[in-house]
Amino acid sequence: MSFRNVLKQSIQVLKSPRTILKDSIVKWRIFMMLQMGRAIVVILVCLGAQLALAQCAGYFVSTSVTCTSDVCNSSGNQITPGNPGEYGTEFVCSTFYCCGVGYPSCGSIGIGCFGGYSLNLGDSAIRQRLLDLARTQDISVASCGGEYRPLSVALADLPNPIREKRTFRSLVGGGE
Amino acid sequence: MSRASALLLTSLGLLGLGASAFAQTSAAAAKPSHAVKSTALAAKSHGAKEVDRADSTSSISVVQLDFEVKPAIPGVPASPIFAGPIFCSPSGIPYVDFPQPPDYMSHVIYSLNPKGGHEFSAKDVPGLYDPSSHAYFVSESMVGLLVNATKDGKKSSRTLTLMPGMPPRAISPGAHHDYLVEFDRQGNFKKTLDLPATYHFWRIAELPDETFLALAYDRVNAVPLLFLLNSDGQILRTLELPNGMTQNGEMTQGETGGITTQVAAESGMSWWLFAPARKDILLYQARSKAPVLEVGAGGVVREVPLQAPKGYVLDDVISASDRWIMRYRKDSISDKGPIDAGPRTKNFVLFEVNPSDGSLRAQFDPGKVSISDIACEHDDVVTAFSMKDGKVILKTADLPR
Repeated sequence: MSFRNVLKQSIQVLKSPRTILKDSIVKWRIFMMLQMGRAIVVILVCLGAQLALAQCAGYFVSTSVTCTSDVCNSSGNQITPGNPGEYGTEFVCSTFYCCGVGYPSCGSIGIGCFGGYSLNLGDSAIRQRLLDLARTQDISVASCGGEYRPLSVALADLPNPIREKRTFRSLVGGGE
Repeated sequence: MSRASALLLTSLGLLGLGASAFAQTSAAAAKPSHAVKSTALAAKSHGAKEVDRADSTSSISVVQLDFEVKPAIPGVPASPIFAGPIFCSPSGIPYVDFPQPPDYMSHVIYSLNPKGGHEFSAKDVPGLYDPSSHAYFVSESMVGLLVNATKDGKKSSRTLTLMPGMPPRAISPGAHHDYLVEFDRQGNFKKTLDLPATYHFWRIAELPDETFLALAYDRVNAVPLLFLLNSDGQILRTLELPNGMTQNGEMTQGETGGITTQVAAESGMSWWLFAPARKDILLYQARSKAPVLEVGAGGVVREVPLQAPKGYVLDDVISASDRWIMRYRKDSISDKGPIDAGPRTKNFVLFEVNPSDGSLRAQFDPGKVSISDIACEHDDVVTAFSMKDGKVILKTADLPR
């Protein structure tokens, strides 16, 4: 069942009997849970390609605001998820209401290489959190030029001491 | 809002449902109205917090709202899903954020004008790319959208599928900033204001003197800031935030902790909201017992500790022309699960609050109308909306004085 169909049903229930309404909501919930399981969290790491080559070779460079050299120089070895917050899963929250039921909904502001936080890929806590997320989701990283690669590859390409290729490859199944 | 993230977290929200009981007991005093049903709200001790001054309230009248259904609104496509909070124009027209199918990532604001609705969206604003609107306001002169976007039209060379079933899309890698996009009340684009790029803006509203009130987060110093902006969007001065809002655990940890705690602290500003009330703007922290800050023309501020019914916390402030009407939610409700906003559950309750001291003045019982559907009050009339036969309809109820 496609997401569109489920939502169509949710709309149709507005003019349907109460039993159909309940049935549709149940189906919608099941579908959403399935979606959650399949969801791919994409972390867009802004890689200042030219700068990385020139000044920060081997590093993923924070380009959270401008992809400029000063960001590169000041922070170095940074990644910036396109979706800030919990690595793209939770930042801006609100409540969606549907048929008299409120659903907490959290997400990001837009998609892309923009004013997010700079996260130090060399930070062990952040690296560990990324790995934790990668256990259940495919995580991709992207350069500012729109070049995507799996988290495992991105992390493995970092210079020492961040060398955990075997672990990454076993945890991350590819990505976009 | 990210499609994947929104759906992911929405899905999480479907996993559980918080519930608890609300003690509403004996009957009592009356309000002089044809539609008034009076009971009393039991007042029991709830600790020593200032917001629990309801403990000393012996009884609060309950006002029954009798809603009258109005004709369907032309020009507004019905959608079963909308995002809160709802804002209303100074003349009492609701403006509702309807996340758009199929992925509900993009948001479109519709004015629910009985004479015909209008659409407000950041998607076609000239000169802005990859726009994402995360707040809006309605004033006498405009509808304003707070938009994060880039002015760099360059697209990535490859596309990316963000979630199963969704078409791949190219990202806009240019520098993103916050902008105020202004529309007239008919949905026509007027202009875009660049907001100071130093800060990340969370809320904005226009004050009666045509300056702007803006809530932002300073990521360098990890602190929230409240600004008074001129009509060009530039900072005039900083206003002081209530300690009751800034001195909470999450926010203070963000000041001294690592990047992850700072991110969590800023994310908490999702619940720092604006609402128009009595021609001023109220800044409040939903899901808390923090005081509210009333901000008027020229940035004149007044901090008011807010009373809450026992077992409840502030959830939303209803747009109102000359009252303070607050929606409270059960304090015990989980942040993770869906919440039945139906009137029987009492998960949400609606109260009029005394603007002078924040005390509870009266409780509103909306009958069969879901409290989440109540949009605003204007000239002693409460307006709600709902979907019927594929159309959006308004419902109105008179409020007694």
